[in-house]
Amino acid sequence: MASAWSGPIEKIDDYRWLIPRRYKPGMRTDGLIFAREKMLAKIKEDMAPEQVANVAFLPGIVGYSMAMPDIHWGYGFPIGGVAAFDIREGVISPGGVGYDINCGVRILRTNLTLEEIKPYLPSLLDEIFHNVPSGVGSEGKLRLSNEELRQVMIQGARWAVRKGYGGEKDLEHTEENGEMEGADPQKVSPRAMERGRSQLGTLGSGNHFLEIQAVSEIYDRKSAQVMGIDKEGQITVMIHTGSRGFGHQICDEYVKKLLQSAQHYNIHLPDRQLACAPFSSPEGKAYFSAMVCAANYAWANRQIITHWVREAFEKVFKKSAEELGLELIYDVAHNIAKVEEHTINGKKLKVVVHRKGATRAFAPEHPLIPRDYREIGQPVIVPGDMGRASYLLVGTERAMEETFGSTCHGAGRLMSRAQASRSVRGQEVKRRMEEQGILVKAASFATLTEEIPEAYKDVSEVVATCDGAGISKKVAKLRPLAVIKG
Amino acid sequence: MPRYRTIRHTADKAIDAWGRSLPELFENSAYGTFSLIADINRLKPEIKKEVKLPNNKDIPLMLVEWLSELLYIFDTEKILFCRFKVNSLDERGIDSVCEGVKVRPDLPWRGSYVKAVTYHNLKVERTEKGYRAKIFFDV
Repeated sequence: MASAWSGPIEKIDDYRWLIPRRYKPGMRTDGLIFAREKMLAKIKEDMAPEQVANVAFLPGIVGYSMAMPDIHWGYGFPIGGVAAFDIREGVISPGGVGYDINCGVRILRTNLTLEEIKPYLPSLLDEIFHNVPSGVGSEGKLRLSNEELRQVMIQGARWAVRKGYGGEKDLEHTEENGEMEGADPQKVSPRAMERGRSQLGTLGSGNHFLEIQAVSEIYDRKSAQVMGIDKEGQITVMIHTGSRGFGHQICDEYVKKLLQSAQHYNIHLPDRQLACAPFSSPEGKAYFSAMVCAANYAWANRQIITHWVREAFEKVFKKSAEELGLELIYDVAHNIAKVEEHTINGKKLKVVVHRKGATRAFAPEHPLIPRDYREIGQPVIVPGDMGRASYLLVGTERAMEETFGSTCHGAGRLMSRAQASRSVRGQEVKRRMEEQGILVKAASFATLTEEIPEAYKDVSEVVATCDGAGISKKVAKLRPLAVIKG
Repeated sequence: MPRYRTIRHTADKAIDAWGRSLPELFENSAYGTFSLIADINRLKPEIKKEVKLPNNKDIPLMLVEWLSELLYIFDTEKILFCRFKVNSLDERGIDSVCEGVKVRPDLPWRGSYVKAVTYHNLKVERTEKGYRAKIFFDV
């Protein structure tokens, strides 16, 4: 099934590869993949490059149909895909955002060092595991009324802060301040609300995780310091989750609706999963408003979980979160569509940028990044697999010029989940990780086998490619100490 | 004829399902879908649920919608389905009875939560012996 892709691909430079539009009649632009030559063979092993070409069919696409170095085979759009469409003539596609709307990642700093945390790690992990519901079918501790759920859709993380989960500073350090504009709960079905109601404040399963890490290398001391990272061995906490069943249901319903819209507006789709509608059409606007509701739900979710993580630290260390310096460095979305202004061929243009498994990476001085980060650029958080490393980067001017201010979002899968599970048993994964000094706690051993480090590309390669191509800049490397998997 | 088999896919999961008739194809597709989530062979059904959907004039879309409905019930009513019976599939739509168990931590979970049934490369084909479907999931 996973037959190799054999279409044309032309080298532009050491980091850029072009799929020319002549490859398939109907492509409106070229495809562009960011990768190093040695990664390319793997990328061509499945149909991900075909998906880059397919996205180029969609009306109103501006610039290239792009893929970041963590590109892998998705459905419809590739994972790692970035595509921008003119808001007057172009489309919006739920498949270009994905089912887990605003799946994203945040990172907290602490004042703690490796030596200080070590004796407490097992009890800390237990405490967090107990405090943050995770796993298949897990239920949250909150029970929201319809009115509260509507407030979550509009206010996002601000709703959570108003309810006592964290503070104002957290909002300043969240993309869109955790409260994206344009939400309209009327565009969300009662079914989506039903599915989302019991899942706010849950981590979920699959690749979602919560990790305690130590800074292992600093590449850019000045930027690191601005983010509150002062030294190697400093402890950080990473949270990776999204909008749970609420986002899945919204995506599901709108893919179905927009399949009809595509027919209505005579849009030719090379794959049904690319279902879309003109951004300016009633259907396109409806999806965008519903998507914003799910994005805000996801920011509220990460904010609530952050609060419970802080509580766990407070209980174990018998100090306040302030004393422990548990501050949010930043929170990024990596499955989202955004209306942004970009300069294309010297002209300013409003586009709807789809990032599906890609992270915004805005340059220094951009007005949409927090004041305290203006000088260094937007922090970019790139989680890796549970055995190796994660990275902190910053956005660059080159990203603004080339990728609509976007970069990679993670390691990218290499091995199918089924292959990974066949290769090893859950207990064995846990033991191997513990031999490397990484504590693991999982709601299910089965998830562990699907998420083994070997199932992923080496995140260091992916990050080095983005850094080499200039679309983001490395700041620090973090290594896992303790991991919670759903 | 096997009921289904899983297909290799890098990031997500996919299945091939077979059936001598369309109702059987639907049943086997559901069996394959829920088998990604847990070892449903080991379950004894406790709850019965009638699931009906109107006709939408397109068999592949109908299949996705019905499977999505079952996942929706799994997520909202916390029922893990393990037996599937399609009583009728015609111009009136689909009429099915699905049986399962209440979700709890000690079920034989396989670790994959299926977020959604996608329309990516969706296919329902006639074969010599009946029907075959190819379905991709977001996990």
